Amino acid sequence: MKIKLIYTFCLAFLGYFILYPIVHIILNSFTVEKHISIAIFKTALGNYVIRRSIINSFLLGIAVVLSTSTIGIPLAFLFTRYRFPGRNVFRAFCFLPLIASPFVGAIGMTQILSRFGSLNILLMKAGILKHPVSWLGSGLLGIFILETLHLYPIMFLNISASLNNFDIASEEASYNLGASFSQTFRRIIFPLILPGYFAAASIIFIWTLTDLGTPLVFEYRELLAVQIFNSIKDINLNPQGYTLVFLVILITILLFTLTKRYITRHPYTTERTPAGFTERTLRGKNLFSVYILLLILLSFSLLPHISIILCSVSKKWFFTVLPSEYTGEFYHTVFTHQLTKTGIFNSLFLSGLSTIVDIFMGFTIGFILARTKIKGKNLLDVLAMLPLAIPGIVMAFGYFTLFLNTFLDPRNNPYILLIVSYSIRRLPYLVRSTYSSFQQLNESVEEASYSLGADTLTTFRKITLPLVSPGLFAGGILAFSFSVMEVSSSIILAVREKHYPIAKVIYTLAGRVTDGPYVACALGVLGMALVGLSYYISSRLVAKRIGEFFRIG
Amino acid sequence: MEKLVLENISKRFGRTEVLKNISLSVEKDEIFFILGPSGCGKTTLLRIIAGFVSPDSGRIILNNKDITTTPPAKRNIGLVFQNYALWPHLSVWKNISYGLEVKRYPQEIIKKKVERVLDITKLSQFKDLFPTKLSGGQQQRVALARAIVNEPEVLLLDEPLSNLDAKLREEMRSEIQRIQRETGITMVYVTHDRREAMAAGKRIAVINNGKILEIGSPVKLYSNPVNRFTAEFLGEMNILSGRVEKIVDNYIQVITDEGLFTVTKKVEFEKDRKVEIGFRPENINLEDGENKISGDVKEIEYSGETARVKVSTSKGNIFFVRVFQKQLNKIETGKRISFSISPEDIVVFTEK
Repeated sequence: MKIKLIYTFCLAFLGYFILYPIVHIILNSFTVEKHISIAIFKTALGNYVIRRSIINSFLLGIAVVLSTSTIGIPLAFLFTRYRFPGRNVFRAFCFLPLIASPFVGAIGMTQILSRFGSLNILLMKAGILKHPVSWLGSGLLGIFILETLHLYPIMFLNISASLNNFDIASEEASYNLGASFSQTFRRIIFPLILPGYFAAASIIFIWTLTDLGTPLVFEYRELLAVQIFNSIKDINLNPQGYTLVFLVILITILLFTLTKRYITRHPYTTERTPAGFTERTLRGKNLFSVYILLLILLSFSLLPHISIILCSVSKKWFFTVLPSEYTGEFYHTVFTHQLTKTGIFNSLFLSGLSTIVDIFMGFTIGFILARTKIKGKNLLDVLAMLPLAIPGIVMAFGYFTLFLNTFLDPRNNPYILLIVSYSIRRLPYLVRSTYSSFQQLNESVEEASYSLGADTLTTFRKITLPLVSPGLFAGGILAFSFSVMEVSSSIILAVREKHYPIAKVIYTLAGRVTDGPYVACALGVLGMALVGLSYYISSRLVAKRIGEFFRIG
Repeated sequence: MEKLVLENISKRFGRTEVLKNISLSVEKDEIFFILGPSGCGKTTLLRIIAGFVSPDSGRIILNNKDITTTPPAKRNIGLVFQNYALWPHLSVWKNISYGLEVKRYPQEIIKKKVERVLDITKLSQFKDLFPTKLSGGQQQRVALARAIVNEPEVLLLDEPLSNLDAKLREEMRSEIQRIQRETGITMVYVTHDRREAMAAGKRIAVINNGKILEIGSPVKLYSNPVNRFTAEFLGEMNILSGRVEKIVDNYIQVITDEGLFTVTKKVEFEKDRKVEIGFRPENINLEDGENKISGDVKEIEYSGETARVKVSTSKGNIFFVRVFQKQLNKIETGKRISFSISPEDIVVFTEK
């Protein structure tokens, strides 16, 4: 009985904070003065800037999928099929781009790629350039570079997982029958990794489509996410924002349904043979060229990180390749300046609370899914996993517009909405990890406790909880650090300075002319360190590779 | 006529020497068995022949041509993988026609060849299904069909029956023999199952710790093994240590702690050489005769038509005797029995 009550509560909570905002958005994009109409669509699509933005976003998404494929697929091949000295160190470095959100990286990259940034100075000193070149152009190229560098690990991870999922013998059988590498790749390998590729491509496409922070830092306006953000300010007067968000929802649903359907229809996992057999060792010339390529890739992909770190400690950095003077004062400012202090406090406080919500809800839902036979638990499963697919910007937009002029109005106090949005965004990770912990935990372990006379509560406390908790804590730590660095909801929902979380503080500082960007970088470095550390701790806790947190399907 | 010859093949993985100086030759149109326990190097040997692993030293010769460095795709050596390695995204037909398609055969030839192979492997009715919809035995046949449709010079089979249940295994074994007869393909068949090798093989190479111990027919390897490992791997063997005492014409005499044993001489021995002698439980006579041993019956284990009797001698040696049901009336647990072994049924091992 009790469990039914809890189930109903979970369902109601998720329904209210996930489904309701979406329904609200859909309804509003089709209603004009309480009548169903597609007039808003017509107006929105009739607007040149909006049309441009949609096209730009699409092209950007496709370009990033292509560029991440170009990097990620060969990389996955290299790491799953070849053995070479230093492989594990290189692999770890290839994941590093994941720890800094591209929006923080963007601040550092402007320093390097701007008109009088490091790259131009370096090239001019070397005599390669006579006049400085505007590398970032309108900003679109910068966004493309940063998204690519940030997202290629996701492609790398998913393809690696797919490559590991099928037996190397499938590949060898093809060579054995006389096929060349290109024939084997086209006809055997690619179809077998296609589900993983679809999954990764969808995540990357939607991520690029909905990333708000990066274009804001580059001050590039003609993208869907920025248009949505801008529409919020006058949403009462101009409901175009609804239609844009509806468009995002539609694309998301479409992509994820296609992927899911494809994956369930083609569950291509084959039996694995022991790894020792499958890997070839790289030697001599091949090894040398692989090292060179990896070093080039890594130096590019770590450029944003390096540039943020340099920015955060540079006292003077004008017309020189590297800063001419260094200082630690910006880190001091981070902990003394009113705005940053508020940001850090708000983020820790809000993320802490949202993590507690996550742990409770994640555990409860994981338990219900794994250990009870409640009818309709699939619905709960679907709802709890839905946030994986819904972009942060959609949720934030939904909350903002739904709770306007209510007691939860974010303009008055966004705390509750921020806690809810942080926790809901990360809930799937917690549910996943608890659920799989429960599944790995054979029920007979608990039954053994009952058979020795322990009651339900004792068994839960002494047996179940200790066995499930590593997964739960690992998820909790990740949820916490993700929330601290959460961009879209923080930027959209926090309106007044005193409510700003870290991400919005970084965004605000980056736009200030004096030492703002430098302090923003210092704060960004701290955030990066927090995310990096939490990955490390949580992967230690559950003995998993970092990458597994980024896979779907 | 020699089809495939391996000359002094050696291979190391790191510090482990997986194959040591392997030499053997496979005749045209035969099924050649490589038999050995798991981890003895037999799969590595097969992968070397297929070209997926290159040997550290030695040569592989196919039809009098050195193919040691030829890439797998150019060898035209078929391989049936232990787990079949069927492609889940291609239908049975597509799996089988793959090899012909990548070689760009004209469609009508592909159709003809695939249909013939489907017929041979009795898969015609499953041609449009996907591998996941097939039973283990059917998958096994697709794997076989996929390999033979290419008409390989040699077909390698890596423990092809190990994923099947006992009944199906027997069925598929005779299927493979039938297909071999019908197609005349030379096969090299790797297995750890002695029954499989003995039932179907004309010649068997016994391999252990990366070394070929013996090559011979099932009868020869079972009745007259040179090597103690071969003897015990192929069936139960009673073993006694001793020393060559005397050599007379066609006999040698070996002194052991159970007394003097007379053994038919099959190879040359020098006097005083330390040896081991062995005899199979079913070759023991319960009647009086040469090479007599007495002991107490400790255990009788029935297994249908025969029983296995454990006998312990006063010297502390344990022997197993296999007797038919009707002989059991002479035997009782705790009682003393005597038995003898004819000189020609005793084998002398010089190698362990």
